[in-house]
Amino acid sequence: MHSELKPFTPSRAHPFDFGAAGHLWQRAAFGGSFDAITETAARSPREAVAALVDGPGDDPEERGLDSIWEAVLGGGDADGLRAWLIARQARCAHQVREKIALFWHSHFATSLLKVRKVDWMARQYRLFLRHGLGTFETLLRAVTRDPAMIRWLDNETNAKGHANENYGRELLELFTLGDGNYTEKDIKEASRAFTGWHILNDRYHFSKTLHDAGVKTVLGKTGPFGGDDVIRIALDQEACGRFLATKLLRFFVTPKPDAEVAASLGKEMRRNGYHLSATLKLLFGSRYFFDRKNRGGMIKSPIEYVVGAARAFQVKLDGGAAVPALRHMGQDLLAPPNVAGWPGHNEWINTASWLARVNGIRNLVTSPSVSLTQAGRALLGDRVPQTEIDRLQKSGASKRDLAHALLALPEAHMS
Amino acid sequence: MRTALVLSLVLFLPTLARAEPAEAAVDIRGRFPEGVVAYVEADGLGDKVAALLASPLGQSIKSHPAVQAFHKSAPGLQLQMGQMFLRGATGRDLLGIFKAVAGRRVGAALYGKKKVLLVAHVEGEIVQRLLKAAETMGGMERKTVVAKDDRGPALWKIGPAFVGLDGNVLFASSVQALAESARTRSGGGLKTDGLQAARAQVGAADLFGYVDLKPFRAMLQQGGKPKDLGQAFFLGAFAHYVPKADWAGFGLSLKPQEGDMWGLSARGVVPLPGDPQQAVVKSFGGTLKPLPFKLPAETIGVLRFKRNLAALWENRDDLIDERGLAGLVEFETNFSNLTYMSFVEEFLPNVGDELILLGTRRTWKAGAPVPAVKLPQGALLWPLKDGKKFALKLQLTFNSLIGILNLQAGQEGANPLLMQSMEYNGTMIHTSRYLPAKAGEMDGRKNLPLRFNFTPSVAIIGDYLVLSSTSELLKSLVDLHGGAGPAPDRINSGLWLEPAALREVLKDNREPLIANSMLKEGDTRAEAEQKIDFALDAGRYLRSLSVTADESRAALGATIKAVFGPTK
Repeated sequence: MHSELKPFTPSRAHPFDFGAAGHLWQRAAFGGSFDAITETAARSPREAVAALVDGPGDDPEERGLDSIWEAVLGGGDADGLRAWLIARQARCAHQVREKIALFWHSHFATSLLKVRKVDWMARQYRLFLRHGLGTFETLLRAVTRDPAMIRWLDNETNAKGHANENYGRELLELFTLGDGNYTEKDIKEASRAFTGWHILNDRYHFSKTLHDAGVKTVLGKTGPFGGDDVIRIALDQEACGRFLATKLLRFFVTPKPDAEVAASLGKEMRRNGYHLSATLKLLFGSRYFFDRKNRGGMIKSPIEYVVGAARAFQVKLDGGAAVPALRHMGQDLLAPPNVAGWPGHNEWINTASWLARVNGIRNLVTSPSVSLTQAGRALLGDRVPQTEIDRLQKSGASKRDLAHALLALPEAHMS
Repeated sequence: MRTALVLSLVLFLPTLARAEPAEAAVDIRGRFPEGVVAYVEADGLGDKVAALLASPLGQSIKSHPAVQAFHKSAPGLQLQMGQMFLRGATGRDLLGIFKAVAGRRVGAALYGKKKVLLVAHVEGEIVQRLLKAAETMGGMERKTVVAKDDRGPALWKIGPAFVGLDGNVLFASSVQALAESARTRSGGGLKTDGLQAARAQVGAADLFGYVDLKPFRAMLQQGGKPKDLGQAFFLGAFAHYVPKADWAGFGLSLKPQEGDMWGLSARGVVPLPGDPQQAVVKSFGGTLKPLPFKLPAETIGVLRFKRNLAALWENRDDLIDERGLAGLVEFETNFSNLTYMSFVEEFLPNVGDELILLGTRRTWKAGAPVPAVKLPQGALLWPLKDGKKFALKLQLTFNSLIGILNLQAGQEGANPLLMQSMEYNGTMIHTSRYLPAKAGEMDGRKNLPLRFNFTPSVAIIGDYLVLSSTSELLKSLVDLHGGAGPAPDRINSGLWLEPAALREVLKDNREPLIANSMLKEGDTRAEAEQKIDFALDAGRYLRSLSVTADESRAALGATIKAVFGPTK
């Protein structure tokens, strides 16, 4: 294992303090409240990471939100579903599960604009919540059979003798191996394995008559493969571990991950059977994760920015207002820009989205229920001197104006 | 919102004060100088509020669990402390103080930006005690700016206001000159023509208001003419006369009614010009006739408009914005293509001059799956001059519409509608319905999707073209046709609501309302349940609600009437 992936051991020079605990909350979750970060900082890094990844046993907020699932779905309104997802991100205690679900939503980027069925999109997102911290193989098998994915990548027209290569291509390029780790022939052959993977009565349906049961050669292996065989073959590739590890590092740690660290993490992923929970515990507990060079240097996505602000200031987030605000900021849930998902990082900020962020947040963080000092510490850790926050506090402005001023700071858009 | 409601209830729900001796009317109007931009006057509110609080309705509100809970809460206890203090200072409870200060005639006039004058017929002694208590206990500062003289009483500066008390007349203003005018009665009173006309048109009211619209004319006319046919149709004469009106008047009345009920009525009026444009009168004028249908069970509301669509079309150049006119050409072509008849030559000459919209609660078979969101059912009724003439074309149009919807559904993988025509009690009806939900669609859910609220249907019932959101409502209208419905009195347009049925619809949708509150307000489930249940419970007090528009030779009016009653 790469030395950077070894457990982070606090020292006098690099303590596991409020700043480090805040970093963990910002990256592994959507940010924490002052009290939650304080509590985390009192634990060892290993205990803190385990508590976050495993989540609490029972969560009344989650039970409450689950209880309205039918009502949300019954309305058939996409923005209602988006508001439900945002409410989960802002309020559910098992934050890592919500965050990894958002990661998978961008990884398996599927858009309502083409699928056009809100309940299918809802079911797909629930797959990310259910299997997001389990094994990648289970998740990938479920996503491959998901009606929204089948429609999104046109697998409904993938039939024996007339293979549609969209799913086969994205499976290798975007979901498992990454560019350069397969050939065009692999795509054609893999696509044949998914022929007949269709939808009937709004469910996955395997059409034996439309399936090509012939012999295929995929990534050097030959046999009468079906879709699950191709998935297993792809997961067996070293490139798959490296590719997924790189994406996880880019999402949780740094826009430019070290190639050797990524390769090592990929190896660990393959070793643990692509188990996400174990992988994330390793990653979040590593020296690499807590390295100062990897702190405060990532631009928050609009969802991370808005939900993180709501959590830091302990405000009740108005989902009806948050959905269009996020859209203006450049992140429309359930409608990623293309099959590659949201590019993230520098792409989040431009002249238009910056204004949308700073203006939009004012209408969302209206009644902070904690002090500016506590919210500021939760949001910014030690990245902005306390004297600056005190100076703001002394200005005599209203709580809402103070919150807005804090959230307009460039540092508030970084994590 | 809820706190405000509870506060306002509690403020006016203390024990009743003893009856005060009657006093001759005091002239407050003569204290106002000319040139008012807006004026509001309340008269005799003290007795009205006292009677309301003593009524079964007031008692019912007072004993409401939410009010009782408020009394025991920290703000409720603070309020009781405040009441004790005021009682000690004045010898009166809150209602008694309200009656002494604002319970008789009170007028407030606006003369321009931040130029307000308030004059009230008060009990001078109680006001004096309140001022003294505020000075000694509350730290209020009262500075004399004009000493008492033979022209009037002393004028004080209290905070930003100039205040004076002349016997039983209290006056206060943000501007010294206005307060001076009230002090010396040198203003000449409220003799503005518009104000007098508004008062005559509004009639007797507990609260009267007047606004001089001339300063706001540019703002009112900024919107221009209605943007399209629909806007022109629904806004009617108001869209034309409000921007041109010199003034607007309004009144608010609270009256006890039969059966322990209380009626709240609000009326607004604007003047009609001496020579109303014929185009407007022809298009929007007239009064509604009795409804030729008995109302179906659990009717939530009826919306009716007296409109002459043919006249509106003929005068469209005068009545609709230029951009809207351009859209009408396209509308006319599409209409003809879809309905197989000319909009201008066949349809317009044959439609009557009224549009009716009806909403009812839908009941579902016990035990059968129901939608998660249970929408009420609605129908649109349009009188025809010769219903039989339209029958075939209506069927063709319905077929075309369902066909277009199904084609679109096919392209999007959505669910198609199945059509059916049948004779029902002597009337040919055309209905459609969705096929049962697909197995996969019901994965992880017990309730049906939203679309199962709809079985779009049409028929010509008698001489009425009826479009209904469900076949059940259409059939009930076939059954109810020919019965005598409600007969409005000299009304041009109106909305009549049945709050009891509306409340049942909201109760049917308690779960979606809770979901909405949790997602939009960020409430927990417990908070959302408390809010929704409180609103549903508070709704029991409202027994009927109507909004109507009428016109006389001199004015165009709109009236809102609400009837409240005690709950058991």
